[in-house]
Amino acid sequence: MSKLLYSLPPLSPDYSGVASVFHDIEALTIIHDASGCTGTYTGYDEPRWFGSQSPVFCSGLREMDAIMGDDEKLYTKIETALKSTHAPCVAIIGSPVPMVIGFDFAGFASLVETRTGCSCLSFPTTGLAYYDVGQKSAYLALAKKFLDPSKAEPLKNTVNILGASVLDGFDEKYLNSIIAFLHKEHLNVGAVWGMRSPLTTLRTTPNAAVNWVVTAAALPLARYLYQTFGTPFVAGLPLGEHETTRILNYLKSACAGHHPPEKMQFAPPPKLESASHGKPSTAKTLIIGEGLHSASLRARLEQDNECEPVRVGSFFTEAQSFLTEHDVMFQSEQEAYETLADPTLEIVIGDPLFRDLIPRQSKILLIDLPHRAISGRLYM
Amino acid sequence: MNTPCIRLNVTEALTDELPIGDLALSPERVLGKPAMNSTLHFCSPAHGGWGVIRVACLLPETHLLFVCPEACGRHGAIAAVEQGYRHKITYLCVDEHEIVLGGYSEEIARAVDDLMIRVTPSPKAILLFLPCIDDLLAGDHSAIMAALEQKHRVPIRLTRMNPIMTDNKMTPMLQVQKALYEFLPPASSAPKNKNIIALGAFSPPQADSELASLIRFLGFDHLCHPEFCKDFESFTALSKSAAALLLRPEGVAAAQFLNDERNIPSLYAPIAYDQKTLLARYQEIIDFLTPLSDAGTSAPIKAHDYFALAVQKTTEALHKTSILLKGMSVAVDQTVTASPFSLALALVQGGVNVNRIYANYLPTHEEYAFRALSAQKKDLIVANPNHHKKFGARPVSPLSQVAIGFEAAYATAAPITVPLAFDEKRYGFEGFQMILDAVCQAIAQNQHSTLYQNLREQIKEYGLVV
Repeated sequence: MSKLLYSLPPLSPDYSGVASVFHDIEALTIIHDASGCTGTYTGYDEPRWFGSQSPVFCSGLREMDAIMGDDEKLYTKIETALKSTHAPCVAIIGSPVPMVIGFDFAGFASLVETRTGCSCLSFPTTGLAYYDVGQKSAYLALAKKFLDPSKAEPLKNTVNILGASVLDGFDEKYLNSIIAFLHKEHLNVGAVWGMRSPLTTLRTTPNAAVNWVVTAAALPLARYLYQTFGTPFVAGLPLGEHETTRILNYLKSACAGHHPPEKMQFAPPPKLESASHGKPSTAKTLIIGEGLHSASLRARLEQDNECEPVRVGSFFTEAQSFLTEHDVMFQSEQEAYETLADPTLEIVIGDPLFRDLIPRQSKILLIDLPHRAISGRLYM
Repeated sequence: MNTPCIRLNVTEALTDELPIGDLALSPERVLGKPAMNSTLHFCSPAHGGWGVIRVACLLPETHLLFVCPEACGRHGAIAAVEQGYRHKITYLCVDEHEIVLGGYSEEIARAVDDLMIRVTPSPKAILLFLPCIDDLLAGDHSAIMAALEQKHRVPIRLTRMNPIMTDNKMTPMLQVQKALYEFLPPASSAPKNKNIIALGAFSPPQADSELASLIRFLGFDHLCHPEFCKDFESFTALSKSAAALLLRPEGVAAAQFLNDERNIPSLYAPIAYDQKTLLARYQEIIDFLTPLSDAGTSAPIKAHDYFALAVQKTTEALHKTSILLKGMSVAVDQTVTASPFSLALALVQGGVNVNRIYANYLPTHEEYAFRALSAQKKDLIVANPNHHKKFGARPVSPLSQVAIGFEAAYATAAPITVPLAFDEKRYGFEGFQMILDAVCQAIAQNQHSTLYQNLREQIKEYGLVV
């Protein structure tokens, strides 16, 4: 069903999520559109674009190409660009127009791969889903395409970081602090999924002793790696003493060759769960953001700071794995507006743009937590 | 004896850049549709413009309803927050079922009903935006628009943000400028006033500008533009305007509409910078407006005489700028002006070392300047900033020392950027002097963008919209 946006911008779309995963792989990345979709990604969703060496392009789709289905024209452009970019692989990413004309992404990728000999992945993204859905499919597609179980050489003390997404606030500094955190504990870093690692490094993923999931969109990748290679995983961010200890203990235990208990994989259940005995309940504090980050932040507030129960809300599908029945998945701006009109709510932690959703007479304190997938380049 | 036939491979002949001397016989090797259609498009961090939404938001007391798959609205919405007009837009984000089943016309009705309640003060007009997919789905929303107009008693017009039509006659920017003027009521038998509409300009020359002064000299009152209208009513009063001057090509369809449907004649007088073209433009304006004026001038006005002082001042400013530049290389681009070749020609004729022009097409009004440059500055490089070879191409050693325009600044890594864009407020000799002043100011400030940071901030501050 359609929805209206009066205050928020449309949120970061699936094709931005896919493209962001491929950015540091330096794949020949083509968003199959006229220009606006590529511009949304490069101009608003991708902080690495200024000065970037990554070959990301718009296909330059035009009306007659769409009507006549002139795929050969697109193929020729890709073949020509491959000669000058020397990219290790090709990623073709969809947008609304290819959706409407029924562009055969899988078939076209197969054609490119066969004719050029260069690995090609395709993503029938539509601009109707959000970035996290795109990221999830990109992570899984890369893993299925390039990770070879027969070549795994397990290395103790090596940790992969899964989901270091620029759309969720990761940048060089943030990632360096996460890596420094591991080094301090004498743990090595293998592949980083989401940024920095080239394809050659991503291929070493099966060698790690453990995977550390740092955003919700990478959780399906972690599950896939567990099922395929048996690599255990932990999810969360080291926010506060309890979460830091949980994550570290899990990583160290896995690196030592043990099987840490499953309950350590995720942040502990929120207070609301135990307090309300399964019945819906409210909380005075609401965090709206990326699912995994919000869950770890809640754990910090509830356990380290001994706060009242904290609720989490999110617009993004993949957050559901980190939400409980007491939390809220917003299907529209209107639902968020109604939630923020709750008179018992006192504190909201979220993107500054949510300020516009808070009723004027409300005394809610909004603590700014900018989220690029919501406000793009506005606060970054 | 037969002459050997050399066949040029068309695709290989198309390329990203060439010296203008080599390009003279076939500009399409770098500029225009064939060149653009032969390559994947690089979208540099300096790519963008005013955007159709920002243009539409110039209309006072008007609300925009943007109907689209959610993703299509993101860049425009964030730019709207940056520039302070987000409250003027509602996004109706349609889902897959509505797209496939074609049911979003009904959703438009629901959205208009909703926004007419929620938006305060109530809008005086609604502009409906539709995306690329509507062209392919062949949506016809005329019936629902008529019903909504009757129900809410506000005019509703339709325009499109459909870059898929960029190669067609009605590009998104042409459509939106036309749509604005479709709000003007049909011409009545009432006498015209003495105002002149500045068409095509994103931000027009101001009331005290050289162009506005000329208009007054010719017996007219004001230079009008949506930017100058304080409310919707004063905008609709533009229907009584005596004539329109088309200052940038983006207003061509609007001019045609005003001429055909609102009885407002117009003259295509695109901005220029080189002296010969400028004087010719002004003479055309004088010749066009004089018969429409009842001022009754005693003798025909010659642009050459009227602008003698302006020519002298411009020549002096150019000389001063040329000395200040000390032979430094200068790049210009198509974001700073609709006439980059004319600007380059004017600079070259003043002794400035223009070494690069970034453009992706050659409009008809630029052909004279292109030819003149190809004769006078054969080694000047014409580069297409969107060609795939331009990816990641920010050079370590700058290709130019001064860049006029953001696209040229990014592509050349010039240490000095002149942060001007889209002929805002510029026209005529005065417009050229504004550019020269900005060049001198930038040199004085010596804005080093080699660390990328300055340019990045300048781009963000300007708010380029893709």
